[in-house]
Amino acid sequence: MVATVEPFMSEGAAWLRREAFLSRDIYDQEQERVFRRAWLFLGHESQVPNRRDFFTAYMGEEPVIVTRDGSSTIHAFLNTCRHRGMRVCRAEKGNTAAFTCSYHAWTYDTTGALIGVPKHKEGYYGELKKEEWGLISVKVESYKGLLFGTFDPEATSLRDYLGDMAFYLDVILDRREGGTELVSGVHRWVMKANWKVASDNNSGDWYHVPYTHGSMGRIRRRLGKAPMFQDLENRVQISAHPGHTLVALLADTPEDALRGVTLAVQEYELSILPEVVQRLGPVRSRTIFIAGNVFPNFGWVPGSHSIRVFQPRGPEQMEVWSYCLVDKDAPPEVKRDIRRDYVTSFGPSGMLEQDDGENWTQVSASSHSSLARTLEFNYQMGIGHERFHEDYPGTVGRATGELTHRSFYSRWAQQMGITPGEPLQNGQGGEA
Amino acid sequence: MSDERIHAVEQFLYKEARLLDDRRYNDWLELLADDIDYTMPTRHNRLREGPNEQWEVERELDELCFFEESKTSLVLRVRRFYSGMAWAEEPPSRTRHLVTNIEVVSSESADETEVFSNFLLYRSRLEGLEGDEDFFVGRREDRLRREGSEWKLAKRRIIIDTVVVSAQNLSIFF
Repeated sequence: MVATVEPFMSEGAAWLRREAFLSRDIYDQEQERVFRRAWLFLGHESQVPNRRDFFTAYMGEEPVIVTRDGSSTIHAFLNTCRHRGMRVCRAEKGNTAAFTCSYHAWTYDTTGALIGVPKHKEGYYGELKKEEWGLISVKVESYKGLLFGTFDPEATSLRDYLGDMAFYLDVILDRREGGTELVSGVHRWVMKANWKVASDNNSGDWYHVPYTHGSMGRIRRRLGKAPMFQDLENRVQISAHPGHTLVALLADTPEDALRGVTLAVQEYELSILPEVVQRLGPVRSRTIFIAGNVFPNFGWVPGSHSIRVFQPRGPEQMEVWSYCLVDKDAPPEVKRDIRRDYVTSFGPSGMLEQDDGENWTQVSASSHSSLARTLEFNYQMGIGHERFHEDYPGTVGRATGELTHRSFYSRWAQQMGITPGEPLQNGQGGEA
Repeated sequence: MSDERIHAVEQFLYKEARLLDDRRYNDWLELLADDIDYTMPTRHNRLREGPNEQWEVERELDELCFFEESKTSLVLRVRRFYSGMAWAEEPPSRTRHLVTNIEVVSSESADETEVFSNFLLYRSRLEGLEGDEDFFVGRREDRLRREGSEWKLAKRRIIIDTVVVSAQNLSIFF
């Protein structure tokens, strides 16, 4: 009995078997082949402003601690004691000189080094080599304030990993000299669906927006406001090599790209326009980055000032971590208006995001039965109609299309060691 | 603090809960003051700062909120329910607000009252099978204001007793 997720893509067609969103085997392989190798989002430098500040996060299912040490270098390590595996830090943030395990009191400093072992002389006869038993270290790099980590010592640099995507991330991260910061706090909630259901959507699924989020479109129409969701020629999907994606609006001028949820935000955006144009140049200063994904599970919704991680929690469960990202030097009232707008639209109570939760959990609930799991999801929209654009790195397609999904799953298949068109072996469950 | 005042406040909270559970959202909005401040902060785990630390919930709350609402945004949320496309609540969830531990705190103004209460909010969605049921537990810190002969909710701060919301969304009111 071998179930497969093939055929994956062929000329004029693209689909993926639902098994890829349900199988425990495939999920376990993903942990090893995707999450153990990728650069994963850890957090933002603004979460550790001072020496010896720390916060805890996850890289896939792995709990990690991120610290700024006594000489201001940022580190990350696995949050598990090397002696008997106890979680050495159970607070989510704070400031400390050391982490003492509550089980046998092995103590690690903010660089992860093992600095204290009770009874080292009497119990271990001085024979335990403390330098070999520090916390398992994660390679950390920052991209303009965003901290990423990888477990793969052979990993390419973060900048190379981001590839074409860095060009687009700068639209948000590099528009001002002062950079960005997170509003303190994280929206964390649980959805009973595979993490890829969310990343697939966040990759650039404009197709769902007018209908899934139609409630907001209808309300805007009734209020006599401009429609949010119409098909625009200059709204595009972009596949940013390798495997990162976004949906963007390519405005004609930087003034056309100005947005603002309140008068205060509009005035702020207008006031910083010269700085933005000077820093980003003519192309990117008229680019509106609406939503996207950094492979594998780091989602972007700059249209609503959110960045988020879809943490895998088993084949049919994820935990979303969603943050609100603002310009560090924006005035307090601008940060407040942006924060309130984000909460209105996104996060678990967001009037846009609520309906995504309903879709994603029901996608999972209606797929895991014996027959349904043998079916496929269809990703063929716009296949063969992709093009290049002289101003924009990567491949461009219509916003109403599935270029970004195909790009995401091609990268996924590559990481998983699946050649598109060839079967992925899955020893358990499903039909031959 | 008169028994009459305590009774009026309790009845206000029970009636409000009933209106929400009966999905009479427009009637519920009538109970809210025009300048209502309705928030539910996120919270986090932290270490105690020492044996003498005076516990206060403020230290566990963050700036980011699950709800940070004005009357305008609450009206929008209610309108959304009636748009015919609010899929998170279409078909609607069944909810039951259990409100307990009502503690009317004396206030200096005759026309304003602070009241604390605990809540257990049950939600059953669709068939109500495993995964379609949610329990939310916490405390509310409310300020009621008398406007004419009516009490209105002028402020509500919802302290939820969890860090991670174990539900697919927060598409209901607390």
